[in-house]
Amino acid sequence: MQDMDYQSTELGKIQIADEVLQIIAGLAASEVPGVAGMSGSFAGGLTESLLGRKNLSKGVKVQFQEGDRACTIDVSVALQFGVSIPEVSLNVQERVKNAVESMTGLQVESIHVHVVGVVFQNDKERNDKDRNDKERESGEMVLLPEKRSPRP
Amino acid sequence: MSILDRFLLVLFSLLGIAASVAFGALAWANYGSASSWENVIRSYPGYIYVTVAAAVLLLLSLRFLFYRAFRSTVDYVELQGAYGLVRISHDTLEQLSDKTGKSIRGVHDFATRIRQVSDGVILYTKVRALPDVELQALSEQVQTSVKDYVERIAGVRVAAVSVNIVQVAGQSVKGAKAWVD
Repeated sequence: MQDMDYQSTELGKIQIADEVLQIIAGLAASEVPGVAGMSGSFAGGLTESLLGRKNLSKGVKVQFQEGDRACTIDVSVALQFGVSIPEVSLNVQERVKNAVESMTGLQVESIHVHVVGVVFQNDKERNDKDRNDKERESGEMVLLPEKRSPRP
Repeated sequence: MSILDRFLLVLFSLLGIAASVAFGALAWANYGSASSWENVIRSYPGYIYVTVAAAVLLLLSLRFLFYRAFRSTVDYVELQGAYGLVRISHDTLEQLSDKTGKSIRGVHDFATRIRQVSDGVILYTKVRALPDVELQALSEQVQTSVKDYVERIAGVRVAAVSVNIVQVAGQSVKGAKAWVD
């Protein structure tokens, strides 16, 4: 994969590695509500599990033309069951476009979202999530009155 | 196909390739010691069969190893998004349909296959129904529920839902559901 050499200043060139774009896009996409995870190749998943380190660029492919400041990004995602696929896909496109353009200054021509599967929450995960939500809510409920009624 | 099945298929293919190469090398070593092809055929007719079997095994193994590369069917549905394409895999649509179908009252088991047509997708469903369920009503409910859900969630037009009731689950079926009002 070739790095993108997109800016020349009097002090020198600025190059951005493809992997940087992949990581930015991958992180942005995985933070969108409704996205259960990124979907990479079998080899990538094997490497991830062997190394025990999360591959942040998993499921992202970047294509650009040499000397061009525009790129096309392909993102493969698995979504949570029950969410609207077009809605979440649009959010992914917007989030990735904003993240890449704001952080690198490159122009993102298009973002193709590949929805490869749906992830079902099992009962344990659902219970954990409910418990966390309740704890968060109860924590907020306890904290708020203390802030509002300071002791004289 | 699950990841385990894929892994086993790759392993099987690699073993097949190794075996075919070994058989081929064995036969070739004996060919090398003979002065001409006629002598080979006359002296070692068995090796000809070994060579042919090795070649067939090699071709089969390569076919299984690269079976995904020869798939010509498009396995996703494309939608035009605001900033690019949104591709929804057939697996995703099948998952959505299966989940909806299994939640319908009277359905014991549910499986879906997708076919893409010009004006959307056709869902071919196989249903195992519970006993004492009115099948006509069940089929209509499956069609309505699955079509509505897939269209709402995936934004893909469902041209038709074909319901194929393949079996009525017997009382002895392990894990059979019972509906109580």
